[in-house]
Amino acid sequence: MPKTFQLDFTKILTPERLTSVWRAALILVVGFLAIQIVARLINRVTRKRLSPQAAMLIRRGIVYAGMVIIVVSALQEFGVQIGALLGAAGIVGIAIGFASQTSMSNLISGLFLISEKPFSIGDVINVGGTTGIVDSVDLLSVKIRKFDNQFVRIPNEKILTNELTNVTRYPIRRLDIKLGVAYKENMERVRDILLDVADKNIYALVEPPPLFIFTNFGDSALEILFGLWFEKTDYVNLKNSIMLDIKNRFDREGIEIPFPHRSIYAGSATDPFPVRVVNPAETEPQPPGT
Amino acid sequence: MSDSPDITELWKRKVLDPKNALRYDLGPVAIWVCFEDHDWYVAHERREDGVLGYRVTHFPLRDAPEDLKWRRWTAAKESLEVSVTPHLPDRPLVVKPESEIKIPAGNRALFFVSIPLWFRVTVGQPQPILLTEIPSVVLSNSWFGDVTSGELCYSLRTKATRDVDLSEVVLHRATCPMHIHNNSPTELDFQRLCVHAEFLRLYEGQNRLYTNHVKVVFRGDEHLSQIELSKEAPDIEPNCRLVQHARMQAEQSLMRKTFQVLRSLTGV
Repeated sequence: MPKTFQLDFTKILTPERLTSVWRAALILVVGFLAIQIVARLINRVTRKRLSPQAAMLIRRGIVYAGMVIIVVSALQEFGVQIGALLGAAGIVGIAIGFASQTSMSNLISGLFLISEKPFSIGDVINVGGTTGIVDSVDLLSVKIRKFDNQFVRIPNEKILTNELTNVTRYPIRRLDIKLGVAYKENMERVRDILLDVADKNIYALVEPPPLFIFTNFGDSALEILFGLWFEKTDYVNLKNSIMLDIKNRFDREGIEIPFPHRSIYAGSATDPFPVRVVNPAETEPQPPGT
Repeated sequence: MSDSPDITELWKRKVLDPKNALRYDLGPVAIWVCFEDHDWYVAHERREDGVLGYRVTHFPLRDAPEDLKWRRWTAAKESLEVSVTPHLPDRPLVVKPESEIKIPAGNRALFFVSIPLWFRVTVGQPQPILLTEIPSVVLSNSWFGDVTSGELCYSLRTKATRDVDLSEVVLHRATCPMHIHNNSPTELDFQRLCVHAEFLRLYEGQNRLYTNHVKVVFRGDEHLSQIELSKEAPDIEPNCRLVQHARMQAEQSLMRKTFQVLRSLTGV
């Protein structure tokens, strides 16, 4: 015969217990509302005075600490022994810690990142070939938004162990353009034309002056490195305009941008492969009687 | 069609005829302003081949060039008053003399630097609404100072004339009288100078515009230069009239790294 359990609500819901439930609910509701208000106030105060990253850390720290205090206070209303609970939580914590070494590694890496500050929210960074804008710096990971609006989560450990480039750390940057011109061109004239193109482009900074380096005698071209300084927000404007400016100006000045050339040699060390261009009309069979 | 070539008349408020556009010829730039279908429209065109002169014209809208790129603002039609006023640039200028100037130790010199002006278009009364600012000349960007902590400026090449009469007499530029005192024990290579145009005031003379006097005291590469901006109207012409206040208020004396000499760039 199956056992039946009967709940006697009159014994469970004693007036003392009902009072505890009400008080716990009141603590939870009022506490969470108070945390929200405090978080908003802190956000308003820190937004103007601190960096977004520091403001976010302070806000989250206060919210998490406040939530722990509220939950503990609510539990105390039910007569829960907090000391015993914390002891149990410590043992569980050690067990979880052993089981989650990767997470702990990310956590510690996150602390290092926060103290080292290699970047902050809003910076453009490149980690392991992924480039994007930093959305948030958390204890376990950094969230970035790529330029094509994809969300990427990078574990902090990966950021700490990989090479990281902060693209927008400094107010100005240099755009390096690799160019090639034909061997017949006068390089001093090419240099003067490129410097004039840079001078006329409003996005290229006049100071620091553009960099012109004749880098190499290439297979098919004389190779040049042309570097232009720009204010970091003008990257797209400069990139789009300067490429057009160079192409148009080279076309106007008759400067050839060569494509790879191949000369085929037949036997002799110096003579090129003999090719004779003939008029197609001479090779076509003529109709009779002409 | 009415012309107003007078320098003072040029900056005064004009009442727009709703069927017409106002055309401001201001040297190398022409600004068009009109009101149509509850909205304000502003366009501008640049003339690289020459200066247009200085006048305001009521122009039939249908006669406006078709290739004008109009920009549109929704603003209340409380009044059809338009004003276009001259202002100094909104960023500092890196002034670079066309030829290098050397000032011996202990010497001082007065130069006149011609600064291009920005034209501010405002409409309506009694609370004018700012529509836009259009530079008379598009200046290239430049950087002054260290690549990690300098400041964004405009680049300005100047003849740095020593005689005000040799400076250009045009209404789209202001003449800035600049006193440079070399109080250092070494010769000063005046290659570049950072002028904070946003702290300067604009004055109207007989037939040209001026800024207040700027005095730069150079004490050596290792020391900050002292900059003093005169509070008085320029005394180059009598009775110069204040046209515009400075965009930003400056302290009486600024201590800045103003010069960039060859030594500081090359480390020589």
